[in-house]
Amino acid sequence: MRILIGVHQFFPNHYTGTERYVLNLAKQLQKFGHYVKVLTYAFREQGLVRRGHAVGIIRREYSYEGVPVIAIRHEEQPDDLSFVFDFIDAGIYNEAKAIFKNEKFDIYHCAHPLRIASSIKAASDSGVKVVFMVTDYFMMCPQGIMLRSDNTLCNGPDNGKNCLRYCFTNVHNARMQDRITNAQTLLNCCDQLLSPSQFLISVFNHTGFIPSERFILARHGFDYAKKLTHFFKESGEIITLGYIGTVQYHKGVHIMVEGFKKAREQNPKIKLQIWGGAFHETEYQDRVKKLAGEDSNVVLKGQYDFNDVENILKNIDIVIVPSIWYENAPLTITTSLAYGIPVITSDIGGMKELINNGENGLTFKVGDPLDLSDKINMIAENPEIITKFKRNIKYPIRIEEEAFNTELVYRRLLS
Amino acid sequence: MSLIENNTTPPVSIIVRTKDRPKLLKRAIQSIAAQTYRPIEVVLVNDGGCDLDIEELKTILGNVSLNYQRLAINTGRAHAGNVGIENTKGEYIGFLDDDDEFYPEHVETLVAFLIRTDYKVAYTDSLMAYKEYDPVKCELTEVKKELIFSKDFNYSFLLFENYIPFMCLLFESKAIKSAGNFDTSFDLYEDWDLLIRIGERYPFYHIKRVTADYNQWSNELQISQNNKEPLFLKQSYLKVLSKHMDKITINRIQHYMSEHVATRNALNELNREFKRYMDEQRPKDYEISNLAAKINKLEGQIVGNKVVIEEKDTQIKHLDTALRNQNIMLTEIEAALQEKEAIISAMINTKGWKLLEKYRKAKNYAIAPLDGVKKGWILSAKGLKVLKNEGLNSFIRKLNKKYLFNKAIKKLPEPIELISPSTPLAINPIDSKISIIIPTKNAGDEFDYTLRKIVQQEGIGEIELIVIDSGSKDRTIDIARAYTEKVFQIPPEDFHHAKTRNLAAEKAEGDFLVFTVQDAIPVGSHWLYKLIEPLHKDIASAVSAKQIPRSDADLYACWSYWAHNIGFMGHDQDHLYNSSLFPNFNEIDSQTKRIMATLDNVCLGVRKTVFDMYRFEAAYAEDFELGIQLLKDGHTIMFQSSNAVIHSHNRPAIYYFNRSYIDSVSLSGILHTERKNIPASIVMEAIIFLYCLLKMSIVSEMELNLNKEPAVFIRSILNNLNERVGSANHSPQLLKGDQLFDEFFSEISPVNHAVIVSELYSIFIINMQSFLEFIKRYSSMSSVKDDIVLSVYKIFSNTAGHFIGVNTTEKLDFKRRI
Repeated sequence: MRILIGVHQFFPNHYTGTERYVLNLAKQLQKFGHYVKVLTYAFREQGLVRRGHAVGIIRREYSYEGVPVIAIRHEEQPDDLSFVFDFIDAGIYNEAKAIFKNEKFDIYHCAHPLRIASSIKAASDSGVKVVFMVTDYFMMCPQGIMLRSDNTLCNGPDNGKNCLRYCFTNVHNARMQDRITNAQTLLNCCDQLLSPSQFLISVFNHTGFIPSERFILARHGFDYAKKLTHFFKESGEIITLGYIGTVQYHKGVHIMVEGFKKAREQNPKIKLQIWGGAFHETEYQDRVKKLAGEDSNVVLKGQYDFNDVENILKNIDIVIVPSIWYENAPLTITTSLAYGIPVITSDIGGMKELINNGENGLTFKVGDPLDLSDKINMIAENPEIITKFKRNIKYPIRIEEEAFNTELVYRRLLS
Repeated sequence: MSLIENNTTPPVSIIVRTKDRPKLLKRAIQSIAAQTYRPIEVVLVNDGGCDLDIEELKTILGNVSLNYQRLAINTGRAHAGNVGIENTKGEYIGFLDDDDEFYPEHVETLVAFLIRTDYKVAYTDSLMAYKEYDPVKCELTEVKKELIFSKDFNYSFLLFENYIPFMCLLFESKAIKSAGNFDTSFDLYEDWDLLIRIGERYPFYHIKRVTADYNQWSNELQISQNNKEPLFLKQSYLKVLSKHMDKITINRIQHYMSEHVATRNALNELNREFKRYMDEQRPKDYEISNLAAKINKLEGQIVGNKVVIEEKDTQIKHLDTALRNQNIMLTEIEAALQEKEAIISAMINTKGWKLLEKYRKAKNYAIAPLDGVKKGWILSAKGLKVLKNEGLNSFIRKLNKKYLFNKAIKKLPEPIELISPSTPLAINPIDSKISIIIPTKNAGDEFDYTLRKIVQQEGIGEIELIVIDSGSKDRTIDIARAYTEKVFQIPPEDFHHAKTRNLAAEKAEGDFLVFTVQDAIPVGSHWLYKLIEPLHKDIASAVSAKQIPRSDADLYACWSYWAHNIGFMGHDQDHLYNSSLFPNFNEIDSQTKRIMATLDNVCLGVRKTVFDMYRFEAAYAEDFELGIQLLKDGHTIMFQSSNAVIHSHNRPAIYYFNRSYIDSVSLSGILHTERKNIPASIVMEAIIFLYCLLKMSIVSEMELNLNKEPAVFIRSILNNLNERVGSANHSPQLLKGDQLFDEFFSEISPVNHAVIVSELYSIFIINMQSFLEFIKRYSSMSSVKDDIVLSVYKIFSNTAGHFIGVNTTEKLDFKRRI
């Protein structure tokens, strides 16, 4: 099979979860013997010397870890590019069309439509089967995360009315309408939609944006080959709780610290390690520090390297994920479960989806430190349930499984 | 003077705010009187300053009318400005501070533009005039003048920078008034705040013409921002930003920042150009020192600029965070207040409350605890003070800090609920017992993971795990016991591919048996269900699923699966095989048999009753042998391409030599194919000969082509090898070499040797062509460099092992040597 995977940005300059997903998928599909190429937008990159097939587009081909990459970019980068309103772009469309014509791909797999959305339409118009991994809420939410500017949860665009009301000004009225219309047009070009979580499907369905029947659940895989150790550790006398992630307001770290402190009043034999940097929110971090106060049992460990997660988890009995936004497919939970560590998490969104209360961990009422402290007390008073949770954990899928499932989707479309 | 002649000149009001600077004020007023434009009125607001000689000012103004507003106390610039605005009568409004000056054509330039366009606001340029004031002599000396802030209107920019000198602007009166005048909570930047509000509705037009002096004094006379405390400046800046946070969208930040980046790039470019210039000029030593000094200076500026940009960047980020937090708290306070109000009103409306009202009043009056009352008063007095001095926002912020952080529980709308999958896998659970049989030896820690994945399979009645171990020295047995009681141990020397599995099968109680291996990982949670379903429905008697490489599998492992599944077996979908299509099973060719009898003990499902009739027989390729027996008796075998286990190994080249030798011997035994009877030494000679040529080819091409595309590299090796094989076509004996070696080789028939080498070579080339096709998927060496040469040796090793197996019947045992 000849597969083109589209993504808004790519290695080596960009390396968030979505790029990692594309790289893992591309490499594994190569291992299965497929011809795979990545199409990306060379956002903010210099040195694209080749003129593209389309007017106003320049391009470069390179290779990353053996995966061939086509990077394209507007000669004059439009102002709104990263702002995402303009879905339909003649330059990107024509360039992508030329690529599909010249390189005869069977499948176009779009992993994120930001900047390159028009390539979806180009693929469809070229008779190429389109698979679209709807990675986040971006198709209906220009902000991508369903969190309003005032940090409250959003319950959908309501035809753009909520976007104008909570995140943008009325200046954008017409463009917001265009955005919604174009988003639907693009979605109609797709032969198969994938979602990394059941919750994301629920959200699109709930808001009336995409009916759930159009989706297939296709969870992201964990690269177990990189996992070197297997823990068989039993919990000791002191129970260590751990937080791994950035220290930001919407991650709910303050809720966790408060809940923990409350729990410690009853159960002194617990500890909390907080791993992660402030990521611009230093003021918030200071507040968390202040909240933690002099308590030597709350340790802020600061920034960590993702490659060290294994060593961090080694000393943690149970991980806490206290986010107060709709986490979609939270990596911390997946990683913890892959290492066999149970999780206490908020009872909303993709968090609730991965943790069954009382089975592989506990869930608490989102934003409620008192409920969290109850849950921590439950663990502290009955440490044996950690072992029970560990036994019940179902390991998150592997990247090999992810690629195999994706391959089956391709096959079904092509048969 | 066309405007005046046409008699189309709307009245213009110029607002002058002043305080205690009568001398400077006079200059400003003079510059208004000197305007070429009429009618003008001056609205002069004395913000609680000293008395002014109004008569003198009137004289200066001549036919410019004066509306004088005297404020009893100093109320600040914003309030003074509002008094000015309220008193204007003109259709257009401009501003002039008491220390600045217009050029005569200022008003005319702006009005001429505004009345013939739809713009409501326009602005001109001004010169920054640096002046020194001698208070004793009361004289001003101009030090220098320069053009500042000549920048076209850009709303994104305005949100972050107060870049339009306020005096340069002329507004349609309605534009200011509809924006709601100055915000009196600002002590500084009140004008900027107003511009942001007006700019949101109306774009400004920039007339690139200098029509005013913006005076910059060298001493304490200057009351503008430059003399203020940096902290105050920063706070004021932040205050403007926070007020207009709702307008600062992501693209505006990006827009703004990209301007900065452009500036920085331009500076960098400038710096580079400077350096180029320096290089060219190097011979002229004396000039170099001059230029170096200039470069230093420029670099300093660049660093300075970078710092400024970075600072702004940080400021914005901090601000963003602070604002988010504040906004949430505001919502919370509001919610809390509403709640309290609701409670209070509910309480007040109850009968009991009303009845007790009188009593309560009396009681409060009589026995109010003095301390509490006093405390309350002090608190509220403090609060009032904050409210009065710093405004509502600040009051709320302080309140937040003090009381609310610990209770910061977000008020959430009803959370969106998870819906269950709308298209669940159409499954009718198989209500049978299934026995999974795994022979083990030192399975490693990952065995725990693998067993868990097996026992957690879904859609199956009961899973029985049978582990049969032959001498593990690691945790294998402990791990297995955590999952099953059926762990059996045999001495390592008793292990036998067929017999050991048969032994385990005897212990099995399931209706179906599944044979797998210790390091095969099921794909998904329905692997077992999919495997057993065709057996359960009697579609097939035995079934195997595909193997896929691990994410850390090497090139050779990936290629060999690809070549086997796609190239040899033609499997890209599920297949059912049954011999009834052929009249006579024995007449089916061996290749077709190999494809049909595709059972594989890495993942093999079979109905127990069927297995018990056959069991495994062969010491090697026992699974394939079972397949042949089943087909012979008319059973159907299924191969699943839509189901898989993850299973691959990265092994050294020599492993494949032995493995493929054993496979080819076993297969020919099972298929009854003929093996040639060439002396093993001759076959080995051919292998060694080709191996040496291959080594030479690889070594020489590694020097030349290792950094080219993988396919180019492989092709170059094959071309090189082809030349070597061609030129050494006949036999090593024909080449003159070491005398003793030549004698040793003389026993071998040259003709025989040439034929056998070319046979081996052609099989190797067929495999390499397939590998070449596979490697085209990789566009650079970066990820395959370490692997690619090893893969060639592994392919050679595999080819050679197979080759010796089919060409000689002598008994060989490589395993001991390996």
